[in-house]
Amino acid sequence: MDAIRCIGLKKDYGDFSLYLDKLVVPQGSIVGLIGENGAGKSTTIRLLLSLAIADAGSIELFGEAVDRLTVRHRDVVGFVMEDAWPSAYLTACQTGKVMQKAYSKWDAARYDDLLDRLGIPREKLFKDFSHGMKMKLVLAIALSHHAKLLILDEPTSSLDPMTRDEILTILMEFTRDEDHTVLISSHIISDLEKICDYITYIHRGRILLSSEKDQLEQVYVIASCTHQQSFDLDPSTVLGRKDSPYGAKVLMRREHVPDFMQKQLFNLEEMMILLAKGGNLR
Amino acid sequence: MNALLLKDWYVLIRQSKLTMVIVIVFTIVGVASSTFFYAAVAAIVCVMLPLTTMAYDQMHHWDRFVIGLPIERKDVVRSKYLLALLALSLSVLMLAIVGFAFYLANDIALETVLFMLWTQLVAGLFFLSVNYPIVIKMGFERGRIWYIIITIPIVSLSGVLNSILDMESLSMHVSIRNFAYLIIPILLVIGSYLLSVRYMESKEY
Repeated sequence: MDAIRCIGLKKDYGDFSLYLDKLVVPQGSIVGLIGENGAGKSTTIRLLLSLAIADAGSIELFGEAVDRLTVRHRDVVGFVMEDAWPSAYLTACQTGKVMQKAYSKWDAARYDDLLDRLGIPREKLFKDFSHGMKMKLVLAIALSHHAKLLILDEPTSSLDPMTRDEILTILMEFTRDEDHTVLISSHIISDLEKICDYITYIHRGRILLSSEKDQLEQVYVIASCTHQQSFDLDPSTVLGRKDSPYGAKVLMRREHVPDFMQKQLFNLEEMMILLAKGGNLR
Repeated sequence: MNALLLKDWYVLIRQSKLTMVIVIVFTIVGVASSTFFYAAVAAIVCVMLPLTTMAYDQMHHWDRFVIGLPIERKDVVRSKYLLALLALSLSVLMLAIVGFAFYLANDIALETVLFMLWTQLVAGLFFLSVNYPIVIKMGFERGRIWYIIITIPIVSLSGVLNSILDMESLSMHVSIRNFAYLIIPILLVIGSYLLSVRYMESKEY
């Protein structure tokens, strides 16, 4: 079963429009949402969490069609959103008591354990937290009510490498249960490479690529060559390219790479950059 | 909804101690001087308390966070109205206690106390009805212009009436039956609540 299935999801803001022909998040997986600033990642997440309402299209959550998330749905969805924080004038302990009244399956012991593990002060006001500490508290909340699905928008942004690693470890622990699913967006592609089973790349409001992460390396190759050699390539085989003073880097399907080209180690971030610079997989 | 009330309670006990002192002082001064203006202001200050929490919610992005929690949007509105009515009840109760204490000490007529209570209830309910939908629809930042435009005339009118009319003698003509007229502000509050729920349901973040 799919935890999330969106078909033809559309949202028009005038100066920006999002159209997701098909976004699938299989149950038990971690799906990474990548894309440049303003590509539509946060809009996608806002639509999934019903903070914004789609102009068209359908959303299914665990096989059930939903126009808007109800209380029952939200009870099993943990979230991290851009500019959405617990109350600034509450301590972590008070926030826990409030959440206990909001979530039907709030696990106070788990929350307490996460506060310790993430080094979150219990009696300090939220407004006095650093950005990283705020993010940790929001994650602790998302992980303390026996959620089946986590929808996380940039949860590791502006965190130091140690904290990012700790959070990624916690997310991997979360998905040890095969019913648990994570949809996570991030600019830090190396983080997603570590934990994701699937990658979905959104570019200018459209899904450019959606695939199993391991399959990407098998199917696509980043290769380098001289400018002249790159111009001699069959344009239909060039999926993305980037020119530098020293030559050209080209993204191609593995079977299309000529012998004279030098294959590089696969790198998801570089693939994203090549696609963004005029590439098209379709 | 209990989660929301608990959250606002935590915020208010931390942030609104001074406001409560103002309400108590205004109540005592109002009764001692038989000045209806103070009673109206005390009620408005009480009804402003949940508006203050709304401002904090929006300033620190709790208003977006709460939409992700398993809480109905209408409960977000309901909790603010409930809190406002509780705060108004508290200010009315305070005025009643102080007023009747002065009445028992023969310093004020019973009719004056009743009229002050009536003034306080009407001012509070009217302020609540008008301002809450505006702040919910427009947000506190944009809504506060309207908030000022609406509040200043109410408070000023109350002050002017107080100075030009002999409120004490006027209150002698007011009987307990006048509390029946409260049906108008009560209906206004119900309409205001329904409008606020509608705004909240259609709000996008």
